[in-house]
Amino acid sequence: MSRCTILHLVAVLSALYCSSSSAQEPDPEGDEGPPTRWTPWQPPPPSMVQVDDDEPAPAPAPAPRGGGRSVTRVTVGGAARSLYDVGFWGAHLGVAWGGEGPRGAWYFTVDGFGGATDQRLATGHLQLGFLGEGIFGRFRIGAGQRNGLFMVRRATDGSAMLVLTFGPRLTASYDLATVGKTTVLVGADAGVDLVLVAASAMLEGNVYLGFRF
Amino acid sequence: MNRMRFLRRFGLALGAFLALTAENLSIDQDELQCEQAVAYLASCCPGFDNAGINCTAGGCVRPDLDLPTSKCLQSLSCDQVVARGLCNLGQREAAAKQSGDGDGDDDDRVPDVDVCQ
Repeated sequence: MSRCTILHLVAVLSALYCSSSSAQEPDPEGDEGPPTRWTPWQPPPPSMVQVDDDEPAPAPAPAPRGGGRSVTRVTVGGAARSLYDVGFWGAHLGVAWGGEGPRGAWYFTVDGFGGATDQRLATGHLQLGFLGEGIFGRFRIGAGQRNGLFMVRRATDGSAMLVLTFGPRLTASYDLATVGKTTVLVGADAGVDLVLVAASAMLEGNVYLGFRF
Repeated sequence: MNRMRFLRRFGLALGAFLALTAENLSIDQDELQCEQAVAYLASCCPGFDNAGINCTAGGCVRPDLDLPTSKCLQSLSCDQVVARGLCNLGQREAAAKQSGDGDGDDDDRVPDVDVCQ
């Protein structure tokens, strides 16, 4: 084999090697370039995926039962308590979390009362409980139970007299207006508490303006 | 998870609070009306000294102001309270305790005749 023939063979092999390498490297510019002999495997487009007729289609997500949704309710208003013929007057703040459907609602409730007696003994009442409501158009009637800690500040030494309260409650409210997902309401509730330890029941009542969202 | 942890801690704190205060978890009618009467005296008498008056009830100890006395005090006008010399009730009560046995029973109480008769 002559020297010229060997050089020619090397040139041909170099040209073949270069064209093969450029076909395997991805083109960073995204240009398709000239057609090559080899292309990497790609999955077929979705329209070409074979569908197995025996496999059932996935079921749609279940709709919320009865159209229920979670609800938060915040109420603010005036409140009164009565124990041993002593009146306690003040403000009420209530927060409730729960759920509601088209015909009813339920809540976990936290109620706070801050006020004073007619002789200005500071008073507080913190209550935890639950409440169920029936929905009748804009009206809601409810019943529930509350457990609380009632406190009266002494005039003599400033310490607190404390009692535990347990009792049922009845509520009624009326939806004034609804804007978006927020409803403005007015309402009232009343309850009778068993007081531990006191030789008397405690009467309580609240009237409030509130929001439900 | 965080909510459960919060509820557990809240429950423990509430339980501890109730356990520590269980002894005082009561309100007696005499006690409440006594505190009401003291508050009323304080509102009528500037600088009212209530240090000598005990309104705590428990066991054998009764409030210094019994129920009729407390209610009677609150039925008086402030002018009547001042005119009857009730603004120094605290000092009088402290003096009575010093002369009595000071155990908080009936012989340490403010006599009704001093207040409403």
